[in-house]
Amino acid sequence: MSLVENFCASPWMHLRITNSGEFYPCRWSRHRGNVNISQVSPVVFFQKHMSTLRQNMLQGIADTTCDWCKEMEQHGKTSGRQKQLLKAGVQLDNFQQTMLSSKFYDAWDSSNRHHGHTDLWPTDWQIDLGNHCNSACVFCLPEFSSRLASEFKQLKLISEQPPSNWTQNARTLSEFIDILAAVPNLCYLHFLGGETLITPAFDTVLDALLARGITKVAIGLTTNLTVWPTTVIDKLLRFEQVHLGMSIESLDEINDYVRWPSKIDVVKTNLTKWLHHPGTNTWFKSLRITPTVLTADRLPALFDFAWNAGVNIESCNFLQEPSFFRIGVLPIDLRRSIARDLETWTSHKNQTHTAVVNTRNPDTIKQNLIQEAQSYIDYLKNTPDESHRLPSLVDFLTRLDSGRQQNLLRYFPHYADLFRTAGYQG
Amino acid sequence: MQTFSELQATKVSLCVSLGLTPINLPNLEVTVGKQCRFKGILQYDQIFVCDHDILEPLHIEIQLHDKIYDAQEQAVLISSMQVDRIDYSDIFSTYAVYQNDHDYSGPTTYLGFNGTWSIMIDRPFYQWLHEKTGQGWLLEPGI
Repeated sequence: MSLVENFCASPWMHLRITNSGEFYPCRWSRHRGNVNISQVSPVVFFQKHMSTLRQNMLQGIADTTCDWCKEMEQHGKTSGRQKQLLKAGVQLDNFQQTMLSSKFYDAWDSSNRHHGHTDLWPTDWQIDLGNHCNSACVFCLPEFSSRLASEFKQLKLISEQPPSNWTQNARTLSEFIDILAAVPNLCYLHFLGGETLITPAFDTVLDALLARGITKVAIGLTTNLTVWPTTVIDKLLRFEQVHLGMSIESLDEINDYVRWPSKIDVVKTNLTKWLHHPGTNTWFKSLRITPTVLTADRLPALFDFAWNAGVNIESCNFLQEPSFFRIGVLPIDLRRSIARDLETWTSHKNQTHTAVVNTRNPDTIKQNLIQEAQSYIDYLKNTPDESHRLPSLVDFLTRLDSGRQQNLLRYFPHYADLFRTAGYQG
Repeated sequence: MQTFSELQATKVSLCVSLGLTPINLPNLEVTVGKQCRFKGILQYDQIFVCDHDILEPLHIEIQLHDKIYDAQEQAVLISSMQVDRIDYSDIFSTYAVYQNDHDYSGPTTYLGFNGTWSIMIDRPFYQWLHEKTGQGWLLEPGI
């Protein structure tokens, strides 16, 4: 048991709703709550169904739902736990003092005396609005992409479509918006999809927030950089704070393969538009990357681009699923080579490394880039070998390529021997 | 510390430390918290240390008076300002208010004018520090 190792502020401030309407206690959580928004109000789930998690945390007991944050901390990557603690004013390097000073102290005390229950409402939400998407990224899952779901069904990779999006029920969505409008001290609404900018429910929610004058809340979203819907963008400009994630895995045609069917020219054009849009100067912008076995070697170029553009890089965690896309699937000698390239990049930057926990501070973007790069260096060197999954990766990509009329080796000639050894016959 | 209950049982306060270096015997009044810690001619380097309630606002005030300007230079140098053994001189001097008879208002740790240098932290110190060091949102509980 250890409070400093296992405590997190997230269960007193945050809730995630998935595309199907299921609740997760946290956007970084490994386990879902097995309760749906069609059954229970999100506030009731938050206050009552998360009591055991809160109680465990107050007892300093580790919960497996927090495993991914532990992995991030192990490799020097700022974890979700650190970010959420910081929102409560708690820093791990001064844990005792900052816990006692936190505005949430009374709430923790109350939960400690009442078996983990809280009367608080979540003020930091991750709201997955549905899998409505025009992309079918190779490392994605059908529950996050309608296009991929259709493709998987055709290829018989799945027998059933994912559950329907909870936002398709207009009444449920309307009731949820009413809840959001009633949340005291509402701070952050992070929307995901699918492709958020073309998800109908996103437009509905923005309209409802604007109609109620709720514009001080920070809006977060991630876009795949394939679209430029001016109407939605104009609505976003009316909010005081926007955090924009721009998904990209490579600055060359490899991005076309892994983020199919996007085209890198369009992606780069929209990326440039976002970076230089005069109305978005106060927005916090990040490249949202999902490094995989296919794109880990693109990291040095991405970090260099971000450094020169003065834009942040952020990845939610180290990719876990699909398992054959994990970085550890790349053989260790190749991983070490990529790590050396990243080390070379960091060594050429005249930047003293100081630990960054607030990864969305525009004044510490460069420090954060160095820290993030170093976490990937550590991960590349030390994550366990999973190269036994290469045949599964090759099999999967072969099946995708057949439908997409693509050739894996056209994009990854440098991995030709690797893929052929794993059974690739293209 | 294993549990939240153990955390609660720990008696914790801020350790506030203020180091002053006199230049030619300044006449000072020094207040840390609500208590006057020194009043009179400061002859030697001195460090004032006190415990302060972790949730209470923190007020530090240094008053220099009776300086005669045509005579030799007389002043007090704030050599250190620590909370829990971390020096915060830069941040404190940035946010301090220096009211003096020369209308100097820039950040400083060199107090060479008759007047009062003060910093008033109107909330728990670590909540104030969170904001002043750019640590991002400090959420309010949703209640």
